[in-house]
Amino acid sequence: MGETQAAFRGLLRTAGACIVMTLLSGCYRTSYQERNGAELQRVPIDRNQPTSDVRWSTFWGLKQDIWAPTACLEQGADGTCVKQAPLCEKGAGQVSAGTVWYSMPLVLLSLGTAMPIKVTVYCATDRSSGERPPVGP
Amino acid sequence: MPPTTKTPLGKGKRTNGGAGTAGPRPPRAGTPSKTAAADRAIHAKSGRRGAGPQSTRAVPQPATPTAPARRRTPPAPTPAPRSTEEPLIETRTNFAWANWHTTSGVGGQVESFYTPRNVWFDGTSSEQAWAPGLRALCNLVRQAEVAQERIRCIGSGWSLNDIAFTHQNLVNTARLSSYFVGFRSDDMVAPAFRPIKNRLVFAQCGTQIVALNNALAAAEPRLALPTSGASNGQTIVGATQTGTHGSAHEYGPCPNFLRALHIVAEGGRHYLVQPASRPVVTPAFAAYLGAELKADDELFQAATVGLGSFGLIHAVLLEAVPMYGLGRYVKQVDFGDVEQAIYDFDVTGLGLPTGNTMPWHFEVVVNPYRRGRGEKGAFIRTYEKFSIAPGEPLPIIPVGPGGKVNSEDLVTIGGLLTNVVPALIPDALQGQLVASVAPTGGQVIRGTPGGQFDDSQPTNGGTSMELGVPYRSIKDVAAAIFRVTDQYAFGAPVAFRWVKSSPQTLSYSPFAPITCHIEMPGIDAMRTREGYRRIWSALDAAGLKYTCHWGQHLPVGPAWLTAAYGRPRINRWLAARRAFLSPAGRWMFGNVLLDTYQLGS
Repeated sequence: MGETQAAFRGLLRTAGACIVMTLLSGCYRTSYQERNGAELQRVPIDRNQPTSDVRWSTFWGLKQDIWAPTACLEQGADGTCVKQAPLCEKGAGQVSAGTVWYSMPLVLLSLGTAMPIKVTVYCATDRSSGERPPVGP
Repeated sequence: MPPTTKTPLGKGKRTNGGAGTAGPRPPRAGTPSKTAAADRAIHAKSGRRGAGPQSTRAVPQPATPTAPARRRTPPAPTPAPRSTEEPLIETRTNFAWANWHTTSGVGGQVESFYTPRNVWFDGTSSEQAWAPGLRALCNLVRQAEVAQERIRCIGSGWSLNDIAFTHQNLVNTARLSSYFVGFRSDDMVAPAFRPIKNRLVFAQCGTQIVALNNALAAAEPRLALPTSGASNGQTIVGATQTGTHGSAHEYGPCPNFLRALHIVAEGGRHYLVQPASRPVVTPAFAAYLGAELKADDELFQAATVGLGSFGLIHAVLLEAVPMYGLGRYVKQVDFGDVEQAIYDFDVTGLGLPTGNTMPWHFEVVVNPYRRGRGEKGAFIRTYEKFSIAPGEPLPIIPVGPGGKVNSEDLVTIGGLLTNVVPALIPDALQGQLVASVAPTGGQVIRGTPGGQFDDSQPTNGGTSMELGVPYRSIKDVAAAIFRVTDQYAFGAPVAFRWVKSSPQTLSYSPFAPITCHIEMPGIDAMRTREGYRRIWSALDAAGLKYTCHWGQHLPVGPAWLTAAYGRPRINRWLAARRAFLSPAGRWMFGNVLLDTYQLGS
């Protein structure tokens, strides 16, 4: 009886540790940042207002996903966007992709058929051409 | 995917997100700031909290003890028909804003978060690239004024406290990044500056240091900023308003290169502010901007380190210098080998590439828990200035895989530490310093200023505390700091840098001839904050005078401010602000943090 209880407690502890580690795996994140200019510095980005979405890739990656967001300038009465513009007037400067807290649990539960990934875009705020900058009046 | 609504005035239909579902980086959960609590109290009284993200604003902000008397205003009017010259302002409501380092307690929920762009609402731009952005700031100020609410600007979110923050109207200036380098016409430049008119740079508020470095390097002739902080992601206005500095003991901090400020103040009126004793432009340039020219030494010196409270700063005019190079040299030594050099500000006998001559930038980073003989707990970092002849190829530091590793800025270093296991701090700190300050193995790595100082990695909870002290008192201040760290370990190195004193009224580098800055970056944990508090207490107990970096962790209450600057100097700053803004204007451009220091209203 005692051995069974001890084994059960061990199993609970292991399961608990697995759950915590699985949820913590939602913090992983990696980013790409563009470089340009004569010294190939990382481009300046708008850090205050990134745009994010959780995107889904399913069936072990067989069905992939392309996210091409725009900015909406004006909404119609029904809430649809009636006037759009590029999300970033100077292009994306940094793009991050990472898991969310439910990514790993969902992968386990769905046997890998669904994988949510959070994608975040930071707009570039300047794009050096390497040419002479504008001169004033 | 809910779309983002943008309106010319930013007060029409709104959604609570961008093109995606979760636009902003979330603030750290469960750690509301003191300012958030204060503003929540305000909202609770008004009953406005709880309005859904789709709601439009109809009820004005209620009065606070320090606020001017509030009138009940009618519901927000229907937006007027859009003209072709309405600026594009992206608006988000109940937006969760956090600073770049996601420091706990910094930022929070913002009622109206505006991102103006340098385009008109119909998507077209202007011949004067900055014009839509300027119009946007003017409109937003008028709108806040009507609603009797506070309005502030944020730059890159570099500050590690709420110096820029307000919960009501926060303007993200990141997209206002237009600039020009040099003037064509003599008519707009004051006679004294005409010989160097090609070195005068007009930069909008959101222009980042990296953008300026790139632009100046491509200018004809090639130029550079005279000095900068240790990273390049700050906006020019954010950096200068808080007194950012490097270790330029012959030049001073970044605000020293500003020559004029273009400020949007009450009523949406905008002013070009320059010193009367050394004007840089003529009224013709103010007319070109559509601004009123104000030549006033007191106003200029107060507003240059104005903590964002003189209005919304639309742009600055700065003086660049001919392109120069910096040679980086980093050496790891025992603390005892460099201790006297720190106290005397004298590099004799240190074996630097410059011999016994003080280099342009001299800095010592110390692991306070490795100060013993043989422990190699100190890192000397120098940048020696060298000239680059016109036409000579720029010394480019290779970047990316295979490239040389830049020395990282100190917040990045500190933020990587953890305070979870105090016993591990000394070794963890030493490892981080070796990896991040990156000794150069006896080599001097030559590059441009733009190449030497790179972007800053977000640290997920980094913070820092930095003192400015008279350089003659370094020994006593260092002793007080080390007494604290010897008894109470917390994960922060102690870095010493030296900056020429600067004339701004509330400059963070006020002590003549040279102010020593002592920075302690760490992870924002209870243990770190307690360490900072103990250090301030130790300095107060010893009667040692110190200033604190406006963009970093600050002591509670205004006592340190009075001790550091003296009442007359603070009164000069307040008087300049009173002369420029009405009581309602001072409240509108203030915030809770400034109120706690009796600087806000």
